[in-house]
Amino acid sequence: MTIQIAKSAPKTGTELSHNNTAKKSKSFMRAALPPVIVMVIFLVGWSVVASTIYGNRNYLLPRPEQVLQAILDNPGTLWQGIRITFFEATAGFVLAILVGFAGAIIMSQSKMLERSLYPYAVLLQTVPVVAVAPIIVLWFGYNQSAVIVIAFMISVFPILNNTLLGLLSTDRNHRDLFRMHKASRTTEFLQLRLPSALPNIFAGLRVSAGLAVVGAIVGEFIIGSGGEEGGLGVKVLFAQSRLATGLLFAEVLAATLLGFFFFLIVTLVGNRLIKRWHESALKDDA
Amino acid sequence: MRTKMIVGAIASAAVIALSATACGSAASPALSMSNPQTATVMMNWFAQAEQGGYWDAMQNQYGKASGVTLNVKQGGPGIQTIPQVAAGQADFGIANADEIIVARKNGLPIVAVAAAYDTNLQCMMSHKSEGITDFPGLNGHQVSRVPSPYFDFLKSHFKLTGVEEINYTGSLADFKRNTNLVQQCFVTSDVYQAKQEGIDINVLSVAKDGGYNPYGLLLFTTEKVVKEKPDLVRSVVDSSIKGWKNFLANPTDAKTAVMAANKDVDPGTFDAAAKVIKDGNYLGDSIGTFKSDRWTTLRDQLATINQVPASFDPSVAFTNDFLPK
Repeated sequence: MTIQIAKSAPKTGTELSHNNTAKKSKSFMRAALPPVIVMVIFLVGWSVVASTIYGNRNYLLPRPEQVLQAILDNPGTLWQGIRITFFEATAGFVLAILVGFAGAIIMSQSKMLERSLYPYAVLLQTVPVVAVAPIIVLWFGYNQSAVIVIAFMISVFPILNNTLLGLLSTDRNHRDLFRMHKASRTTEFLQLRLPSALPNIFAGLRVSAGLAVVGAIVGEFIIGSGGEEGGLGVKVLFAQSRLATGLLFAEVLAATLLGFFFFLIVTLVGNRLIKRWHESALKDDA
Repeated sequence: MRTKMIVGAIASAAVIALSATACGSAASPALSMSNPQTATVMMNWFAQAEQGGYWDAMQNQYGKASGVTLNVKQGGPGIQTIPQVAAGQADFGIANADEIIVARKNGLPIVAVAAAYDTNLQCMMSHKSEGITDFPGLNGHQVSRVPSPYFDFLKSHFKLTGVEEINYTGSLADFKRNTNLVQQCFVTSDVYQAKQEGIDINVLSVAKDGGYNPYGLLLFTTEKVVKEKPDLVRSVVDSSIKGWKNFLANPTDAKTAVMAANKDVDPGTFDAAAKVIKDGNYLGDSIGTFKSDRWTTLRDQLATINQVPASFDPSVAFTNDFLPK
């Protein structure tokens, strides 16, 4: 059964690209302007509160210019912290993807497997990471491995849960179609179940991306490995002990932006992949 | 005639001015039973023998006759006494002198009002098998410590570039398991407990072997409390000094208060710690008094690690004005 799509008369090449660029920049401005306005309002508000109510207590709430000064005075420290936390978060995230995918694929193969293993997957989510940190340290030592394990533990469940949901939500009619053509299990998995699960998979990945950064920071905070060469979490401890509140805020900001960056990357990759699938599906029909 | 009038005018003006100031200072009510006040003192760790003088003062309430109730609160790993007292969460707190100077330099309006330890109890313990007999020997080892100016100084002064720093957990289990680990400690409780666990250790005193000796666990408060309630400060300082003196003579009262606050305290450890404090004369000969040259030396040491400018005036950070005459 082919799907008919009504198409209007095609415009000329240059007209099309011109319109497209104009449309794209206009829509970008429309999307970017409101958050930028909110940020400006926020910065003004912060500056006013820090200068008046907290005027002589900037060790509690530094002014924006003090945070900026801290960034300008400590570029090396901040960059090193970002690099190390980025490495630990990425490693934890990759581990979470591998284990999450593997677990979801296994559980999607049979209802029995799902029922037996899913409760333990939930336990991975609910175990209080801060409380088991001493055990993790006992097994992995006071080093980056332990931090990566903590980042993994905090970010694995959304991936596992959403991938499983996606794999179990394949359209029955499509599955019957594949069975009618005597497709093997592998073919059905690679050509149907996995691609149709992509939206769900990326929803899980987006949540876990931010969590991986949170996990790395929490791990660093608890373990404190690396000392002066540690990640952002460790550097926060140093700033705290030296009462360098401006630097502390700068490091927290860096950590937040790192999480945001992870989220952005995953969203962009996801959009790219899903668009391709949809496009190729349409192209085949036409 | 005119001179008489002028003198008379000046005299009356003087009387009016004096009575005005008298009214002003009378704004802070005098301490008395009819005007009960509570002073909270925040400890920087779980209740332990090393805080003995303060807990003795809580047990005995030396300020009762003037209506002052002392409330000593135990701290723990997350507690930061200096920002918390500065923010008004407690009236008084305890800290080390180096933390006080760094805080002052960063604008926190706190001031040290009474000393406790004249010789700091801080030390580093290592496994005897590692053969660490001086601070440079820490290179090549993992060191468990709380991030603090004292360790920044040790790192810089003894060129400890080969040291791996990790967070201090207070647990002996990690130390026992890992012979490469060096752990921060007090020469009192921690050294005793390590020996009880059968671990052979070498101890390096930060004050004696490291040459870094800030006044330890001193009593501090905010400038606001000093200005508005000087009598209360005087009473709390007096109580804490009496508490330390009684703790040296007989640690039983302090022990009662400490064990009530912290169920995990081992009585044997407490007794051993109290004995070391007394026998080693860690509180010094005139408990409570600050010597300004000690603060200047500390300022110079902190300047070498860029935590305070070399020109910083340390006299703003402490005062002997509230000591009993």
